[in-house]
Amino acid sequence: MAEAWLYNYTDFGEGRGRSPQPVLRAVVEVATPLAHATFQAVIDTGGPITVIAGILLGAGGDPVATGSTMVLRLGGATNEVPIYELTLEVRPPSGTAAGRPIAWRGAVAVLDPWPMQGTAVLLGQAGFLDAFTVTFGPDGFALEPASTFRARFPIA
Amino acid sequence: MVRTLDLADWAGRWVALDEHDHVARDAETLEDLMVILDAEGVEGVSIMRAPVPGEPVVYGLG
Repeated sequence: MAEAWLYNYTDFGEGRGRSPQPVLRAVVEVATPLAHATFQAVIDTGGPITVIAGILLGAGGDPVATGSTMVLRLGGATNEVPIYELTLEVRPPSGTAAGRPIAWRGAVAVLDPWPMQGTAVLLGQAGFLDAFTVTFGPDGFALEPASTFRARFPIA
Repeated sequence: MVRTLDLADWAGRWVALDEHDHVARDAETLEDLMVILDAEGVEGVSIMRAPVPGEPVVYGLG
């Protein structure tokens, strides 16, 4: 990733709800390495950890159970879920020549069955935002390595 | 710029989108969709569940 990857926001067609404008999501395509299909994945800056549907554990990425669990409240339901180490990769924005997918390995919480609408992957603080710098702007968002933030704002 | 998906005809179903965000395959469940993609050797698609209009999508972790 020599340069920032720039993405448009996505309108899934969820409607407006109480909002004066359509609900827009920061969505990237994520997959396990060498997978033939990707998943639409929503970046959730308020989420403590990346969460995936259980079926993804069978799609590669060398999942390793950590033996630990966490209590997760998602979509109004509360579950105690296992934590895995998993390798995922993010694809560059479609329609660009931005380069090859970038893989990272991190913690994911695994929810099975998956209760959500929308996507089967939520990218949270652990397991995504500790690996990437994400900059949100009014017209889109940008993805860069975590080192970008540290170089821009070094800790004294 | 906003990427806008029109998936009303597939509301509530799991869909595999091609590179133009057109629905290439769909199924009632994520598991069923994965089976179809594997069986038919479909590649280069991206998976999501089409939202149901008026049904709020809640992404809230904690």
